[in-house]
Amino acid sequence: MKRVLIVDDAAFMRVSIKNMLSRHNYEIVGEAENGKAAVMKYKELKPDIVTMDITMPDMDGLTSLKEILAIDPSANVIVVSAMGQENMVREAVLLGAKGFVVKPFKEDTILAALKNLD
Amino acid sequence: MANDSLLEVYLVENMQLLDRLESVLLECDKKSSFSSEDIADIFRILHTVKGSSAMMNFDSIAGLSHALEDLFDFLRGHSSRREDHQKIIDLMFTSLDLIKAEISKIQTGGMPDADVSGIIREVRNYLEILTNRKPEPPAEQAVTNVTPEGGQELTGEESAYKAHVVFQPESKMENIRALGIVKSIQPMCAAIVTEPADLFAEHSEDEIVASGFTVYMLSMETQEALTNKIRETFFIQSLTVEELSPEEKARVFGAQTDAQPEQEAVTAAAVASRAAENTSTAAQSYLSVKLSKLDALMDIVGEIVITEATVTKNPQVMALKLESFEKASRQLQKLTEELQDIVMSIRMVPVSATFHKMERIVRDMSNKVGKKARLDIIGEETELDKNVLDKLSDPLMHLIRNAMDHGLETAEERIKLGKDPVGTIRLEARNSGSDVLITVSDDGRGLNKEKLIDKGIALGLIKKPKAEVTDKEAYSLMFAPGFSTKEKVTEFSGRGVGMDVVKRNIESIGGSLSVDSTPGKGMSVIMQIPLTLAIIDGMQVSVGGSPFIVPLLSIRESFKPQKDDCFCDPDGREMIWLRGNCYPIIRLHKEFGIDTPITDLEQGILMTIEAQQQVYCLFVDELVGEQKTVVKPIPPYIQKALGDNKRLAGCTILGDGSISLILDINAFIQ
Repeated sequence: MKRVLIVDDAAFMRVSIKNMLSRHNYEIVGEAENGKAAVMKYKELKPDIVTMDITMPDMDGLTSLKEILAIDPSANVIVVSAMGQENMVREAVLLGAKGFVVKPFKEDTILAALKNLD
Repeated sequence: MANDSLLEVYLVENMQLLDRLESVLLECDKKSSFSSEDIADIFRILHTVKGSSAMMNFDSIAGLSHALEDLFDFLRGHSSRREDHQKIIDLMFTSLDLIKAEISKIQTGGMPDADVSGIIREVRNYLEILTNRKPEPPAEQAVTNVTPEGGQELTGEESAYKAHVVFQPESKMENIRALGIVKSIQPMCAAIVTEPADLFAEHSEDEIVASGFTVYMLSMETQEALTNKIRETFFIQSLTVEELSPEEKARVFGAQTDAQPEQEAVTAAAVASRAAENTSTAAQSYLSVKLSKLDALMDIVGEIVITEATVTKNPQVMALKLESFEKASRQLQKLTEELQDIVMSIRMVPVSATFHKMERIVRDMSNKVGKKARLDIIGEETELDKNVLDKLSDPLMHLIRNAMDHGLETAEERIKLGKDPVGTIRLEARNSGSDVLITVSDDGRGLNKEKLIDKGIALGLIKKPKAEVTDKEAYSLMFAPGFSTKEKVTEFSGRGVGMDVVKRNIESIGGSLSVDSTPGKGMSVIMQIPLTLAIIDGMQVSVGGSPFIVPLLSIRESFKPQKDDCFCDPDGREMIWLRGNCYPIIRLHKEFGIDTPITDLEQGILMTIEAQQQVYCLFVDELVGEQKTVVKPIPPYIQKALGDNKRLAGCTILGDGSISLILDINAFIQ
């Protein structure tokens, strides 16, 4: 069972992703609502996968991604982005995000993305 | 089921976000500028609303918030002119109302289906105007040439491969996905060439969607290793990797001898300074709970309070004189009291959100009725029970509208009168015992007593001679049903629902209201609202064997009267002389038509009651004792039996299981 950390400032998105993943053999080990908390939770929980929102208060997703990769260069971080954020997604990919999904997405989409990490 | 709870999260979160958006906008409107924090904040809110709404397929909300998000994205990167702000704020308020209306459709089980294309066009057009006016180059990062970081040295021994990738339909941002592939194979290759060459050229994304993405590699790695690496990329529909023939190799890579590949796509994008976005918000450990759950909790606590009394005051057990039982029941009583206090405190919310909503009304109305006004809010931290507060919103809105529409004069009139051209409306809350006093006042023209009385007589609401009508009676006319001295009904105040709604709503939450006015100086409406509806401290009294509850906090004192102090006034009303003041006596047995042997004042008890700044004495047979009282609505069958008797605020169940009626102390004021 893969252990997932969900990072998003919107409770709605956290619940959505949690619902989608927990039906399919993923264990949600933690949630963080900003980039700073994500880094701390990453250190503490050492999840297999992180889903990372980009636009968040208190450290955005890109900075958080950078800090997580500094702690663990092999971290599996998937960026959850939205249309209109192309520049930031591009940056995330260059920084070393394992991939990204674009909102709105369906359950199949995010599952397919996570499956790629196996 | 899961979807229901998801929808609930969606609604709760987005309503909160929209409320915050509104308050940020009002702030910006006040100072008529946007700080960079405001813009970042608004952008983030819109971004979240867009994302969540798109996930829920609420297209109208997603589309509109997307357009607005783009507008604020532009504002983030560009300084804007002051005159733009009013336009932007107007656009935002219009959009906000639309989105809120859509959300309330969802709340009532409908689908958001408003046509938002018009407003979206307006936002987009405006964004275009802003963009064109400032012909700065787009904030796109420059594409820079880099050598493959960590790439291999070109030795001339490499094999050449061609990989063709087709992404799954709808995987979105395909050019960035292609970039991801380049990035992942970079360490394994000495040179890379892509088709399209510039992944971020204008049509690259469409090209990749239409015909796929091709990457040529010069690498010492095996074909299999490269294939596996590329496969790690998300959403690949098909992948073919083949080794190139020497001719093809020469065609693609030419006589490349240095490690500089032709392709230019790989760029270490400069990280834009995003410090402005990092406004710190303290970590909050709050939990949102459905109000209905709190209501249920309150109900249960109410039942526990009653049951506790039933158990500990059980006459048979009391007769046994069990010391350990008494100890235990004292402990139980203490704990239930604590439990009750905590539940009550959970339900208490500050009035600030409701008060600040009124700013919006003042703003909108100032624009439309052409009067300048300022809203002063005092005591916004005062707390009220959530249910009580919810019922307060409408009356406040009516009162504020009324003040704007009828109370305040126009700026010209005000200048003529030597007043500040900007009118002031004050919204004030403060605690007063078990009540909260909420005052809405303005510094406008005040009430016209003459006009009120004339209208009152014409409508048959006043039956006594004009000269005998007191100020209070005249002013309270404005809350009578169907009463409006204004011939013209404006859009805002008086759309069929008059000020009588205010009175009805306030009374429905057990409150009362009074009006004060000084001609030329303004008027104020004072509402006295109970802190909570649910549990009160009561004094149980008995009349002819029937138990009644009187709210404890309204009782000033209870005493055995002396016959000498009592007298009748010329109208035959009983009065009592008390420390230099005289107060009317109200006999409860007469009020409710109860037979009781105690009719002599000296045999019974008088309670001095204070309600709405007036004092009277209530005559009862005896005091039974203090009682935690869980207020319950009067059941219909009792209501029926009572007929028009409106002197009850509710009923409660006593420790012995019998029903007791709670007196509405305001109803006895003469």
